[in-house]
Amino acid sequence: MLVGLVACSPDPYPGEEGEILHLSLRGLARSLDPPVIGTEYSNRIASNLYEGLLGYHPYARPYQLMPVLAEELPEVSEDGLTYTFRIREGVTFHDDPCFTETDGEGREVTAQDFVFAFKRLGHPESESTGWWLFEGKVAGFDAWREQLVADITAAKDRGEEVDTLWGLDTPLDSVRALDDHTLQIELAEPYPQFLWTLAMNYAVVYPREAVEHYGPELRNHPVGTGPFRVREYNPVYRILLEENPDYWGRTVPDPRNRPEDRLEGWDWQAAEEAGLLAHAGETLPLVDGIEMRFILEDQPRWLYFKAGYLDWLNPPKDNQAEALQGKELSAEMAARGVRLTLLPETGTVYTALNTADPVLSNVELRRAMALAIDHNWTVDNLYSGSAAVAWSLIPPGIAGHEPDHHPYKDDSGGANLELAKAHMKLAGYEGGIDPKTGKPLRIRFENSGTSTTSRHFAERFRDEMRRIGIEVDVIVNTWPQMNEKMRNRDYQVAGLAWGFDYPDAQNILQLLYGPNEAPGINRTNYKNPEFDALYEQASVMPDGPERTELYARMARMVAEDVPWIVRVHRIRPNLQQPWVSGALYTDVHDQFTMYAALDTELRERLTAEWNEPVRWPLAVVLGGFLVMILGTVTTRKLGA
Amino acid sequence: MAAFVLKRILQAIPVLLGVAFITLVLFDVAGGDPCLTKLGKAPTEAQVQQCHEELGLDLPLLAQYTRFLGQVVTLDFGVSWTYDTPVREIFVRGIGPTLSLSVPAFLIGSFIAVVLALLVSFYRGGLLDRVVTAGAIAGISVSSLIYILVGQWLLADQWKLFPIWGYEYGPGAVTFVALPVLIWVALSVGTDVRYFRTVALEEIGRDYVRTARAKGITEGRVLFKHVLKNCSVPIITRMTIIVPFLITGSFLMEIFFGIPGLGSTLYTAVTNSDLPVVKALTMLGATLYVIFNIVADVLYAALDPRIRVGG
Repeated sequence: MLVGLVACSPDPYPGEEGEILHLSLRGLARSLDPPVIGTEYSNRIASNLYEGLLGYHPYARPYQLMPVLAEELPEVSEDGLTYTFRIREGVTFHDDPCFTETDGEGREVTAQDFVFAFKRLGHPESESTGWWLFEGKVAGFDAWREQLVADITAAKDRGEEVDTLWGLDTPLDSVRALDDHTLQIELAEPYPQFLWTLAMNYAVVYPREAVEHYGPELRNHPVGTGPFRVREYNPVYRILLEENPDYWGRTVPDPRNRPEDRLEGWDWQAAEEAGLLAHAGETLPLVDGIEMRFILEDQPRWLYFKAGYLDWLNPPKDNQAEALQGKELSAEMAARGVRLTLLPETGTVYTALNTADPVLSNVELRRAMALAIDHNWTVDNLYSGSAAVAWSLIPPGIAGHEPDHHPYKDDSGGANLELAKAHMKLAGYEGGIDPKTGKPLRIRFENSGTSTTSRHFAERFRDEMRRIGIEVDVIVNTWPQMNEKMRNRDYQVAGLAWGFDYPDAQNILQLLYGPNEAPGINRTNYKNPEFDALYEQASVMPDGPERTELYARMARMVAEDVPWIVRVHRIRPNLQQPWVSGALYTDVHDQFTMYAALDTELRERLTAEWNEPVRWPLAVVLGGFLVMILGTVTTRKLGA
Repeated sequence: MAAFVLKRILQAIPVLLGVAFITLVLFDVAGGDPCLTKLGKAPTEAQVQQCHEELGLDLPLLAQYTRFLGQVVTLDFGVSWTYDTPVREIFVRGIGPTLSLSVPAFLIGSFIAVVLALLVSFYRGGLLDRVVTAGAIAGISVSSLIYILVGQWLLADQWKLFPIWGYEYGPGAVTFVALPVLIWVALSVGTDVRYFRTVALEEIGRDYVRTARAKGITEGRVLFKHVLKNCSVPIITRMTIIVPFLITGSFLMEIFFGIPGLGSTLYTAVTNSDLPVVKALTMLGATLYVIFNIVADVLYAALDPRIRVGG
């Protein structure tokens, strides 16, 4: 056993060949079948395998779209309803056994493939979590789907087997291939966010042959056009991607030498100075493969990074003290050459107040509750500093963000108990006493999950409300239980968060739009006709100062009416090892990984240096134990 | 003997039916609508309704129970919501890694525990006895999570003797399971040594040991042939009862060390509200526990006829 122990090597990638990027995911990927790529972790993988018409520019901030499989950004008709895309020629799918006619060789992508993929996203049997991309937006798509639902129900009643290809060829005029390389989409009404949604993994292209060949197993056998393809996939352990040898040749932006790469509004010189363009002009991918391991626990993930076995990481909350000193790297990390990016998450954590509840329909009560929250305390204690006070429900960096209008949040970020108590009085609950019972007002706080943070959040809320005389009963739920309560409007207060699907304020404002009330996504059942009118107006407006102003006005209304107590925007620190270059991490999309390059010589040298085994302590412990046993046996024999 | 076995099996049936009922009620009825977990952020009413029909949640409780029993009997628990893979496949994939960790840990741990127990009981009151007994008490007083966290930090991170996390199928697994096996052994030895020591002490005090020594038989032979043989009934019984846990795995160990086995599957299923997997593993655990309890009873009865008569 001792020999075995001493012979062990700490290297977790034995026998690895080539330049492989080492990454981790803290959850499992649910499925790699595009209509159900809904989780963060599926997306992290899928962005390297699949491509769509459009994608995110890897370095431009604010975020900008760029053509990927489209030759250029689409031609949009004057009425904003018809989008015409020219599809890039010569792009082929990954080689795969599903292409039986070409002996496994991937065929060229055509506009018909997009028509197929988009229709399958709306197919009821695909159980798509991304149907909302097209629902109510593409002309005639809803009717097409409803007809299919009826046909499928009838077919099932007849005992027919139905899969995600059943009835898919039923014509849908609004999504059409004009020829092999021209795709046209007709919208029901102008929808300026449409292009953002086309950059999501729900809207990628994949071949019909793969669906026919793999059926439901497509979830584990993705066939796309991306710079990588799957070499090995164990859904509970890791996924190993290898370079797609027939990749069509996307390159790293080269603004210095190619004027067409100088996007308007992108400070490319700053990106160059930051070293992001070290591989400008080179063809993707820049590494031979990517290995992503599903490391669910914080400690091993952090130790892996420290040992050099992960190329970048968002340090777990409990390890941030070791990684950071305030907003700088810790001395240890700085000495290792690790680079830090402090990235505000594009999302908002909030406390939802159900305005349909008889008690919480009282706006003065909601205002009082909002004023009683000490947001600075939340940031310092519940997030260990890895969050910023949210002054608006629209996060910084998103058009419509206005940090100065927060009537029911103290300028200091702390609680304003005096004002809160005044609003309690206005609400008819002076001193927190419910006049109907003569006792303190009691409110239920629904909590989901048993994590320490969520428990502390609930306990803190209870303490803060007690200061204005409100007694809070914390109710612990599973997520389905809480979800059910919210769908049924059977709750008062709940802790929630929203992460943006695309960087446009409409994505979060839809959660407050009246017609989206429960069981829809407006879980606070906020209804304000003025807000709804502005939302409808903004929804069909193109990006620009006028629409931004409407977004800001809506955010102001929410701040006045307080259906949400807007709490914080989380901040994710990202650490990158010194041997990585080219990848600018973000949480908005996952299309930056393919731009990563490695200095594997430096990685090998440093990881060997950092992981020199120390064997003597173990030998001492085991030796001591053996001596004790031998000593005891010998003594007994001598004594006997 | 056949009647004894049959009786034990018949007694197990209501237990399993009860476990199935509790599992169903706990996860499908009391735990909130599972379709809301399955369908993502904002499902439509039609999607929820379709899901209810597919999962049979629109049926009366008794019909749901019958349907669930059918799944248990045919071992068809449907498709996992986390992995989008049939639950049966997940079992097949996870059982190998689980056993590659649990079997060596069990065998090495049991061997060390038996040898140490015999030694300390034979050299009772000596330095070794005092150190081992104190160590065992200290060991079982510490949470298993502490063993794992400290073991991983010290042996893998600080001393770099083992990989921190990871797994390889085939012979390469040895490197990756070495540390979790070592920790598992350290975790189990304390309890086992104390139990086996008590059993061995009782045997060592018996007349036949004194007689054997008087006849000039060597100490080693007395200890490992005569004493061990007579200790075997409680030792085997205890080991048999542990077997189900070897199959269902140690979720903490597997999660912390990256062993893609059944334990980590259960953990991720629970944290993701993946009810098909949770229900299947709950039933598997309960069934194995009942089966191996029967096996332990039978072994006990086979080795000691007095049990059979009494039982």
